[in-house]
Amino acid sequence: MDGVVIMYVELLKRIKNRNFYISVLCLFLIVVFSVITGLKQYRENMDLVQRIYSNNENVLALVSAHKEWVGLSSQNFFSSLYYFLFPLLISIALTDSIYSEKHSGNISYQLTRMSRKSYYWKKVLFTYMSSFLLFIIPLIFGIILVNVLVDQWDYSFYSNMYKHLINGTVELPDNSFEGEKKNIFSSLLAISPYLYILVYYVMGGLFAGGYVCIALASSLMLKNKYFVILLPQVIYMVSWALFTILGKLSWDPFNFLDPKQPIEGLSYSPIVIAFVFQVLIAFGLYVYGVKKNDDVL
Amino acid sequence: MRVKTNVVSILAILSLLAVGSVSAASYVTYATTLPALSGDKTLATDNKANNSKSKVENSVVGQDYKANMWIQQGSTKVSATATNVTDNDTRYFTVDQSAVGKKVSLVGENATWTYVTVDISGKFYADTE
Repeated sequence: MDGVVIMYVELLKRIKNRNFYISVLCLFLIVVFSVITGLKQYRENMDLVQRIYSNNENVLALVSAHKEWVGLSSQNFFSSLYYFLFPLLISIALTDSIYSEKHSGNISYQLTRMSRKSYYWKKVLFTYMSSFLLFIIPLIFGIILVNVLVDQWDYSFYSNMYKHLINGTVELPDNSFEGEKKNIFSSLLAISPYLYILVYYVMGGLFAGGYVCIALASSLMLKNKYFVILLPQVIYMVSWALFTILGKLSWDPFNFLDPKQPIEGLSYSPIVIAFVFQVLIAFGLYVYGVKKNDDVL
Repeated sequence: MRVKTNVVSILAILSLLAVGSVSAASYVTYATTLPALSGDKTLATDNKANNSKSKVENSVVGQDYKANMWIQQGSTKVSATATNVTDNDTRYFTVDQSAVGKKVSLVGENATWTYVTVDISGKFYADTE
C-alpha cells in the first residue's frame, strides 16, 4: 500500500511539472497528425483500389484501416516521427526528477522520511512505468481515433485474408501486396492486428523505459540538466548512426521497433539481446550513481 | 516457287509479330539512389501503351533496406503501393485505365528513415503485353 501512495505522490509531483505537459502534448499532437494524414491516405487508396481492382473483395480486405494506426502507417511522416523522437519526448517529462530534487534540496527532506533504498527504488520504478505508459497511451489513443473515424473495430476479415496470403491460398489480381507479409510476429497478425500491434507497442514501451532510466541514472552523475534530458535521444540516434554504418540494420532499435518491419533480416534474437543489454546498462549505471551519491545525508 | 514465296511471307509476318510483341514488353532500366529520410524519387518513365499490367523487376536495394514503389501519371497515383520491395523482387501492378496512352513513372522511396542514400536498380515495364 505504501508503494502505491509513494507512486501517487510521485505522479502528483510530475503533474505539477510544466515539462510533463509539454511532453504529453507533443506525443498526442504527433499521434493526431499521424491519424489525420493516415486516414487521408487511406481514403485516397481505397478510392483508387476500388476503381482499378473493380471492387475485388480480396484486395479490399488487404487495404484495411488498421494499417493507419501509428507505427503501421507507411508513407506517413508523423507516424515515423513518433518512433524517431519518442526517447526525447518522454525524457522531457521524467528524467529530471532526481536532478530537480537534488538541486532544490528536497532530496534531503525525502530521505528523512524514507530509507535511501526505498527512495531510489521508487524513483526508478516510477520512471520506468511512467515511460512505458507515456509511450503506449498516445498510441492506444491513436488506435481508438482511427477506429472511431472510420467506424470500424473488427479487423478479422484482414487477418483471415492475411492467413490466406501467407499460405498462398488467395487469388489476387497482381502481387503488389506481397510486402504485407511480415518476417517476425507474422502468426500474431494472422490472429488479429490488435495482438500484433500490442506486442510492438509493449516492446516500444519497454525500450522507452530503458532509455529514460539510463538518463535517470546519468542524472546522478552529470551536472548538466539539458544533457540529461537529451541523453535518451542521443543514445537512440548514436545507435541509429552506428548500426547504419556497420550495415547491421536489424540490430537498430529504430528499425526493429517499427511495426511495419521496413528492413530485411529482422529476427527475435537482436531484440531480446538489445533489451537485456539496455536493462543491464540502466541498472548498472543506476547502482553506480546511487553509490556515488552516498554523501547525500 | 509459289510455296517458297508463301513460306517467306509467313516467316516475315511472324517476325514482324515477334518484333511487335517484344517492343510492347520493352523496359526502362533504372540504377540510382533513393534519397535520405524516405524522400521519394522517380526511378523510370515510359509510355503506357495498353491496359496490361506494369511490372518491376527490382534487382537491388542497398544493404538490408526495403523500398516502397508505385506508379504515377504526372502527379497522380495510378497504382497501389507495393511495400517492402527487396533484392531480386518482381512485382506486378494493376494500373488505372486513365493512364493508358500516357507517360507513367515508377516512383520509389525507402521504407524506413535513414540518413544515407540507398542504391536501387532494376527494370520497369510499363506494359507486359
